[in-house]
Amino acid sequence: MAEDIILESLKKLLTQQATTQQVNEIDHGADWSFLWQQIENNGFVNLMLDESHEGASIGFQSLSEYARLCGKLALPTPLIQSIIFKYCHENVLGEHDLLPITFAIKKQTDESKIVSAENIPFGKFSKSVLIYELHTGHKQIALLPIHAATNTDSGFKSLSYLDCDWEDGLAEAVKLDSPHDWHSIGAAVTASLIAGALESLLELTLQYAKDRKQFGRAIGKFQAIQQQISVLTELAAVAKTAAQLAFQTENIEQLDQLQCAIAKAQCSVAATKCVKIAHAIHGAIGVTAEYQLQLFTRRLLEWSHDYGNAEYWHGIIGEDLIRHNAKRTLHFLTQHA
Amino acid sequence: MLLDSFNIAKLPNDTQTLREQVRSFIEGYEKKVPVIEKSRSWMGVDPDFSRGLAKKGWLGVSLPTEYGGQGLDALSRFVIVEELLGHSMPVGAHWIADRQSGPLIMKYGTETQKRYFLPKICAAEAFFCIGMSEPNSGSDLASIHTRAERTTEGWRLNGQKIWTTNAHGSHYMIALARTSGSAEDRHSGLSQFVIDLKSPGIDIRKIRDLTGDHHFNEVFFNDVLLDESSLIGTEGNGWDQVINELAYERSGPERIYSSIILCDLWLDFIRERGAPSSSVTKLGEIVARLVVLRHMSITLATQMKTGLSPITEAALVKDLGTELEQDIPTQISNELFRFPHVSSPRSLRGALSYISQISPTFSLRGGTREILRGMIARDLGLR
Repeated sequence: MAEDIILESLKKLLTQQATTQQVNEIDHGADWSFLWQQIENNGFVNLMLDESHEGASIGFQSLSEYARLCGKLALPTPLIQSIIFKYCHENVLGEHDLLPITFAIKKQTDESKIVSAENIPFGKFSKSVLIYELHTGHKQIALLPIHAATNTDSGFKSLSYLDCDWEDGLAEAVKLDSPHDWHSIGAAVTASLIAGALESLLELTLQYAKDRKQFGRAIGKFQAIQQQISVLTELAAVAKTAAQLAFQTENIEQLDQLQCAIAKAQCSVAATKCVKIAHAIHGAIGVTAEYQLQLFTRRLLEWSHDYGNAEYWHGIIGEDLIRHNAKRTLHFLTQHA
Repeated sequence: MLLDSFNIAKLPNDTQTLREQVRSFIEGYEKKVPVIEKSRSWMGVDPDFSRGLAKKGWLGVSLPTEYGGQGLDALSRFVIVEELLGHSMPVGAHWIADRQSGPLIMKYGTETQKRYFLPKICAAEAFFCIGMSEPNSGSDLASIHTRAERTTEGWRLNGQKIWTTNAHGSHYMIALARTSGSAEDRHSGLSQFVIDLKSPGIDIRKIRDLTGDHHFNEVFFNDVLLDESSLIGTEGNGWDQVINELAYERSGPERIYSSIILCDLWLDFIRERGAPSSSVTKLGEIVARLVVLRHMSITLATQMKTGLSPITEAALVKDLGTELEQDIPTQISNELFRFPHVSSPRSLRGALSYISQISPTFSLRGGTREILRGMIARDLGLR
């Protein structure tokens, strides 16, 4: 299978170029542009484009697996977001150097000239931001370069977020109409990142429980620990299924907002619960910078509320059901979800 | 790795016609089913309804046509069962026979047993119950004491089963009994028998549950004589057979939809009266969990269709599913009674009380939460 080979080659590249040590260094301020160049030079940003555009014609459904891989390796840069953007608006990229690109919601401000976004996911590891408005049908988007923003870093080193103000935002932006629902795309991608990161979280926690000895035996031999790791496994399975749900449509134009909502909501719930379990089992070593657990738990906590947290999406799903013509809960499940 | 088993699967489109047929049949019948009966979900018993389903050919659908079934796959059965449970229909009479006794006899039974029992199951003429738990053997099933001893013509059975759902409404029991060794021999020396519950020496005594309902029983065997053909499968292989049976029991829609009547009644109420945003959010959360669990359940049904037996995966889905079934009454109660001055329908409040009271059983029946999590831990290599 050609697709499997491509996935394998991405895995190979990332396990060499984005080792846990390198990711940790990038998280703490090292330059990420070399890593990004490797990804770009190997053509991975073109994945969804067809062969005539040096792409691999990877379908939207398959992208879920690539996103899980990025989450599993805690890849710092927004590769999947960039792949999708390039597929949707390749013509814009010809003229502007925007990649890697991340997405963020435009904040409501009193000053009409200023464009602002807060907690921009992957902000520290992106070149530009696709800003969309949450409540206007998402049709007009603005592409803004991060170097033109003011006031960026929050001062908290451990966040990947940036806050950005663009003083004369609309003048600096590349503006375009986009038919896509960028909020749901962000939610779908993040759901898969969570599912991938939870795979690593489970592997690390399981291994630690087998290796770490207390009271003369591996802590994984204690029933209390076993039951917690079983719950972690259950939630990782929920997240994987939920994440795949968002990528069920053949192509991105048919993206189903409800399925993205369910995916993101359930992955967010799983993320916060699993972070607590993994840290509880690891004890003090889990909160050190040196040990790799934090690469995943810090990201999972951010991802759990990026592009709408569980409460936000659950509210949307609830409204959807109430408005729907389904007489029964089951009818909604079988017709719509 | 356990997670590798969870790759989302979809129901094939050709199951849609079957779904519509079943739904339309249910819609014709369900006015006769009161809310209290619907609240019992698959503990509700209505033999007439079971016979109606049998006439449509919807019992034992996955059994081959030569034995009275339809020769359909596990996904068709999933659709039928999902429609029945999703509309809270009283399927209790035929439930065990359709879900596990039929498939068990199909898999391990002799030709004579298949020809005798399977057509009866498909016709709703043979209802079954399961004889597993005993007074001192609950989670520790391998420690059972009920014993079958060889006689010249078959077996003599002595012992006691407990918590036997619908024994009083069933024609047959498939029981696990010790045929050699002692309780210390654990998994070896156990065998399964099909027992005609009208046989002399059987005493069925009802146990009332905390709601006052009678659904489970104690069953006593006092020198019950079983003929040679009562043994199912291989003597001494009972443990493996039981474990296999549990995959059917654990991953199905019955571990998701036991509280669904509450969602339906609450949804009606919200649509009529409006609701605060916290209720809308809770409703959305319940639906989101249902959707994902439903897909996990479909994933496992798809694996069973191809002949796999995802035993640990089924345990995982059951643990998650029963937790949701238990959370539904808690969350709806929390939302509904935040406003003590607001009137709400008696049927909703009644169903809420009943399901809240009975819901602890959801994570006990078919293997407790702790046992299921222990199975997952074993799969992960921790035990």
